Amino acid sequence: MTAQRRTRRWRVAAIGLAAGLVLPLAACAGPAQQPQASGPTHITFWNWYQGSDGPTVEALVKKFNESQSKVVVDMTIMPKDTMIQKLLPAYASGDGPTLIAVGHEMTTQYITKKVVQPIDDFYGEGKLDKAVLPKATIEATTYDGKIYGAPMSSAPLMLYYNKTLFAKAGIANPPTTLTELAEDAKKITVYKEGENTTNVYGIGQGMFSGIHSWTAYFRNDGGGYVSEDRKTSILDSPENIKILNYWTDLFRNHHISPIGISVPDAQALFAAGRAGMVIDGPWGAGNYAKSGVDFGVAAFPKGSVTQTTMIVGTPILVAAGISDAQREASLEFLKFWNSPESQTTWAVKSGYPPTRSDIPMADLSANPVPEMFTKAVGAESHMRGVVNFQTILDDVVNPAIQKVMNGQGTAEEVLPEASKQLQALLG
Amino acid sequence: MRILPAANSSRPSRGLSGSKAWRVTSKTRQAFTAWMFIAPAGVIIAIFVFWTLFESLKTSFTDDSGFGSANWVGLANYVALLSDPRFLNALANTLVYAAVVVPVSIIVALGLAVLLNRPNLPFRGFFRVAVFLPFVTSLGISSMAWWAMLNPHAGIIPAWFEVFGLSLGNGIQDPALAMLFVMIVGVWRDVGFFMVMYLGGLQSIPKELRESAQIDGASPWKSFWNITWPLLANTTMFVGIMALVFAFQAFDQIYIMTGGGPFFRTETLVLYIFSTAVERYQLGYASAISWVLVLLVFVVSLFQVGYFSKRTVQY
Repeated sequence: MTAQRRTRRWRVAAIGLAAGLVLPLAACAGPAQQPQASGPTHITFWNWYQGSDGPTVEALVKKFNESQSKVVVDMTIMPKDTMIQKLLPAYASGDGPTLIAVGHEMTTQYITKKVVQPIDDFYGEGKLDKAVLPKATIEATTYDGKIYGAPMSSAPLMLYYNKTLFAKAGIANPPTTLTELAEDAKKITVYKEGENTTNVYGIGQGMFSGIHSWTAYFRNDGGGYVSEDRKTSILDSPENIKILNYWTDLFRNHHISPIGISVPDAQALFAAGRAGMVIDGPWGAGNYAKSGVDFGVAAFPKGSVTQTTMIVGTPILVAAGISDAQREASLEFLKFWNSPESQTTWAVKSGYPPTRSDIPMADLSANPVPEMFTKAVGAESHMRGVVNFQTILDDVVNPAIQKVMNGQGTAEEVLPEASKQLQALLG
Repeated sequence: MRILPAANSSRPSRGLSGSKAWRVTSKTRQAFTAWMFIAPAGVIIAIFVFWTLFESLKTSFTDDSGFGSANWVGLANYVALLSDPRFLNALANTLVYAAVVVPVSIIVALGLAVLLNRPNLPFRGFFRVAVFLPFVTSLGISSMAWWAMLNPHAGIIPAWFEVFGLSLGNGIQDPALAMLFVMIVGVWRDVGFFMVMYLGGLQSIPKELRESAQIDGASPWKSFWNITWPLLANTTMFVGIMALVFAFQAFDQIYIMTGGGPFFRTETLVLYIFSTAVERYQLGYASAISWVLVLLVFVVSLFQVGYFSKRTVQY
């Protein structure tokens, strides 16, 4: 081999090695760090408003960005499951968003992991007004005496009922008690074995993959999942066993609802006019109206002990470790979001009740839904302060209820074992 | 008298021809050049495969949660697995899934390959594409379509069955049937790929062997069993190993269609790993489960290689 050829081979090999190393490493490199220029302060905001309320959120954020030149909110809307999975890894890698809107019951998880910071100083004169903002949100985001969240939306779960199916069953008014709900559901149900795609059910009661409404069934009849101090599981209480047996009999033997359906399935059944009732929030109203359902909204029925309903709120939390400028920018955005003008737009366009209690109902007359959702009774955040709330629901409570409803064990057999698992998750 | 060169002489001796010395040096140079060209891919594999495997193994001996420090816990994660009912349930589900999906996929793929290997079959190309298409489609997307079609209360497939007076019951929401439906989707997805492997294997079998058997009066079944099947041993070994790996990695259609439910009836090991790592941030524990899965796949694959190696036949 000539010296020339040897040299050429070495050059080719060296170039190949260099390219092979540099190109993949360049692909792995993160975005180039831009020097911080003077200009507006950018803050990132993640939430999961993907439904019919999404465009209203986008329009309001755009309005905020265009209305001033000091702050730019870079918002990312993604599916709830995706956001929950991405959040903690993002914060662990130092790449988490400045603001997040998460469910009430999830806030404790992020507070205890110290990825969000207290914002008591965001409340006060000229800032956020506690007196007009939802107490449930402030309570749900208070931990160790410090407030960590500001309201983005807050709405109770209510009972949607199909007026046409009610009239067909000869029922004049929606149920006001759980016993009436059961009786009305039986009257509405038209069930034939083996005809699942055409049956009509008294209620579409979802068991997973969405807002968990079972807590209200248990609490209103004297049951519940955890003690008031959130330290002890009460899942296997005699009251819970009785309540679960009662509803299991109605589901299995009277077929008032399909067994084992997801919350979206339950909503779809109601939208299709095949369920007489569904427990849902204001976000469902637009879809049901579009589907042509003649619906009404009533308070979640009273039980033998009390009347409560789950409040579904997404407070906005502020990330820990951000700069002072970003903190100031966050406050500006939160003030804008909770201003009377923004909340009027939000309520009219989305159907959510406004976060402020000082907005006259007359200003919301263009959309009747927000007023319906101000009539809830006993709205509370049932599982506030419980750190592993979502895991408790997904891994313990939902499977236990489904097991009993599917006849894979009685409540007496299943709930004690589930209670031990819940206790282990409470720590 | 010949003077032989000293053993460790550094000078090429007169006894060695100049061309042999050149070949030795040239071979080394060629090998070095080859290694240089392989090196970039090797570095990437070393970083993204071997290093991550090593890190995962290390993590499995800690209580890493992604936050704060990860403390060494020794074998505690592995010991905990032995008494974790959810792990044992996921392991059982995975084994059942593999025990059904692997043989069914192989049998169906082989049957389709034999059918679609016939030279005079009309629209043969169309059928081959139709069978292979699911394999190149995103399983996540196709699982969403299956989930919608199989929805027991609004799905088109239960509705069709009901027209004929048949019922699929609660379908994917029925604890007794949910696993069956995810298995069906698993087989539907993989069978095209295995069919292509078998088509290649069938086409490598000399035609003369089958023709000789025909002349000797062998029935199609005897011809298949005594000639085709043994000569497909290598292909079957490959397909079997791949089918097993796919089965042990089952995740996409289960996550989308049932989420591992109802009440964990369809939860496989990979789904449990996902839940433990991504939803509960127990990275150490999830890594331990992952390594159990790696060892399981390794042991079963070794067994398969040994089994099929002994059965290779050459005519």
